Formats: sequence, C-alpha cells, structure tokens
Amino acid sequence: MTSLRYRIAEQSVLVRAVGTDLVERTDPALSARRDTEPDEAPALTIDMWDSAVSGIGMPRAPWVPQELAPLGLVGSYCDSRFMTAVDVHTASLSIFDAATSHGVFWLHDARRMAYWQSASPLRLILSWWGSRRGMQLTHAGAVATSDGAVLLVGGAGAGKSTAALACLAAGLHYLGDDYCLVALEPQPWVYGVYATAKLRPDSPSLLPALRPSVRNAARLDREKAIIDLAGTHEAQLGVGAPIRAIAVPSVTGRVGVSAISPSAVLRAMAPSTIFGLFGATPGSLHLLADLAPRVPGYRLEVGEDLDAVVDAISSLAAS
Amino acid sequence: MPAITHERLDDEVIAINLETGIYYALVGPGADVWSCFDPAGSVGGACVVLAARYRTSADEIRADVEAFARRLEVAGLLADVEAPDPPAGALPVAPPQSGWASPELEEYRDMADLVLLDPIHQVDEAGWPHLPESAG
Repeated sequence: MTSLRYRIAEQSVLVRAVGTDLVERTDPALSARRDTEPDEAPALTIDMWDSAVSGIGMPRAPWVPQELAPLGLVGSYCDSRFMTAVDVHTASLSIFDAATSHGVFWLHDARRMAYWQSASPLRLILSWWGSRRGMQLTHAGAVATSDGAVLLVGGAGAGKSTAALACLAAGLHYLGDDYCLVALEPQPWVYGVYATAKLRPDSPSLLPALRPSVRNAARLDREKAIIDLAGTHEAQLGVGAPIRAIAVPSVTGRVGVSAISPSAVLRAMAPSTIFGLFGATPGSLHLLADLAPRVPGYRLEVGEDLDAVVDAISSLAAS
Repeated sequence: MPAITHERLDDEVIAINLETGIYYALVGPGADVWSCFDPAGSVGGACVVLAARYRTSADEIRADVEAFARRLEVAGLLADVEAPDPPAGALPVAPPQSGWASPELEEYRDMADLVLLDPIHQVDEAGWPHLPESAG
C-alpha cells in the first residue's frame, strides 16, 4: 500500500494505492501539492488500484450496461450521496461517497493509463468532492500576478495552454492549463490542482526550456506533449488566487482584448466543463453562472507575439 | 441527474442536453419563451405574457411561440405533458433588449463525441470497459 498526502484547495487529501504503478502515473501531476507533514485529518480520502498490475480483479458490475447514462454516469448508483461513473475511454471507474468524503478509483491497467488522464488524474472524484465544498472543478487554465488571477476558459484548442505557458515563461504564477478548482465565497477564487501542461508538439509555447520536462517525448507523433512542471517551476506553482478576470482565448494571429458579456463567458466555460466531467453535478452550471457576472469577461485574441499575450493577461489581472 | 441543465444570464439561456451531448443558446425572445416554460407553462399562457412584454398581441406571436416550442420539444428540451394550465414562468423585470422576432435556437455539437452511443458494446461481460487500443 502506498499512501500520499496532498493539500488541494487548502484542504488535506489522502490518496492510498495498491502498489506503486498507479501512483507513479498520478503523482507527477499532483506532486506540487504534496503535503509531507499533514497535521489534520484528510478532508478527502481516495483509494485506488488497478487490476492488471495488482492482480486484484473486479467483481461483476452490479448494474447492466443499459444503466450507463450517455456520458458514463451509472444512473442507478448516482444519488444525493453517491456518484459513480464508468469511463470507457480510459477503462476506469470512479466512485464518490459524499457522506464519508471517500473516493474509489479503479483502472484496468495502470501501465496503460491514457496520457490525458495522467495529466489531470482523479478529476471526477475531485470534481464531486469539490462540489460538496462550494467549489467547481472547471475546464480552465489560470495564471496569476500579485494582483490576482486570470481564468482562461474555452474548449480544446482555444489557446488556454499556449497563454498559460507563455505567462509561466514570463514569471507569472501558474495554477493550471486545463482544470482548476473555482470557488465563489468569500470571493471568486481559483485553486491550482495539477502541475502539468498539455500542448500540441508544434505549439510555440513549447519553449526549449520546457522540452526536458516533457514526459512523453517518444510519443509526440500521436499524443499531445505532457509537461511536468513540479520539478522545474516549483516556485511559480500557485496555491490559489482571487479571480480578477475571465478571458476566453481565441487563436487569431493577432493579440487583442475586448470585453464580452457574462453569458458569452458562460457559453465558453460551461459546456466543456460539464461534458468533460460526465455531466458534473446538478449544481455545476448554476455555480458557473453565478461566477460569470461577478468578474469581468474578455475575449483574448492570441497571436504569435507571446510577450503581448502576457502583457494583456497581466493587465487583466490588475483590472 | 436531470438530462437537461440550464441557466439564464441576462438576455441569454444556455441549455445543455446531457443525453445527446448537444448544447444550445437561446437569445432574446428565445430566452423569454424558455423562461415562460420554466419550470412549466403553456403556449397560450406564454403568448399572453410575451405579448405584454414585447408590446404586441398574443395572436401576433402565437405561430412563432408554437413553432419554437415544437423545436424545443424535438431537441428534447421541452416535454409535452397532460396537466392543468400552469402559470407562465417568470420573466426578467428589465425590458427586452430588442423587439419581438422569431425565436432562434443556436445548436452546438462540438461536445457530442463524448456521449456513449453504444454502451452495451463498450463494456465486457462483467460490465467493465474494454482497454482502449489508444490508451497508454
């Protein structure tokens, strides 16, 4: 058994795994949140194992395939207490018991964890847990200056990672490029969860200094580059920051900023968050709709001049 | 989990169908029609409320409202139920940002790939997912 403690959103999280293979694939993304001297009971405990390496098989599923909702939730095992999802894309199972704040994660074969899953592991359980604590795991990047954070929202390919890594290279704090925890009270706040970045191999943001941190360099012909930032950029990995603005990046070739309505922000932020989290929770869209009018929203045009992108985001953080 | 999740912000409604993977934006009159049916309403009741809001007559907008309700029904966003005529849902206090126009339903399918089209064949005999070829 391997046990690791993390601090996520200022709360203690215990992850226990059978063997080490699974932890070796989940820990790099979370290691910046490692809590080596925990002094409180965990707010969330996650137990996980795989079958192929551990040899611990799964009993027959207590539901029939017809009970799987179109996004993968198991309808008969989701209620006000439990959430259960089967992910056919990664061959995994996630369960969360809100009453005990206990998650269970099973993967068919740890050695074959999908690269995108290892970049943001355990996200369904973290999403369900966060929703019970007034937070929403949100499909967003986030970077921060001493003034506060800018949330970068939008679907895949919008330019979130490009913008976030350009800011990292310029010395800003980095809270994530794909999934962050967002809270509304006492003020809109974003917490970093994963110390990874995911980029197309030809992205201009994949700067030479980052290439040694690409964990899947041998597979870039078929995978996005996964960059582990914990070892090289520890000091810039922020815990959390107040959200000063929400930017919706759009790669246009030129750099520009223009104000957009809260509804435009919501439309950019909500669908990919909710579908990416198997429907998330009944309160997810409401929380995001509460957030959108509370901070100014902008369309951020992203061009090749990454310094200008960083300047634009820094200005939004100071707004 | 409900199959449809939706929120209104100002002049726009976003509605997400978790079963089809399709999401929708309803702007202006479309958002107002939606609000008339949230949580329940009738075409007749909606026309009365919308006519007052847009300073027109119920007869003038009835065909638009009926057609839009049918469109929402086809998208799985609205269900026809046998029930006593419910009061129309609440509309915003702020006046509409434009005059009445035929409501439009903007449809987005960029997330639809995420839904399981055939869950029965995506799990093994024990009910667990097959290991995908692309994983790892």
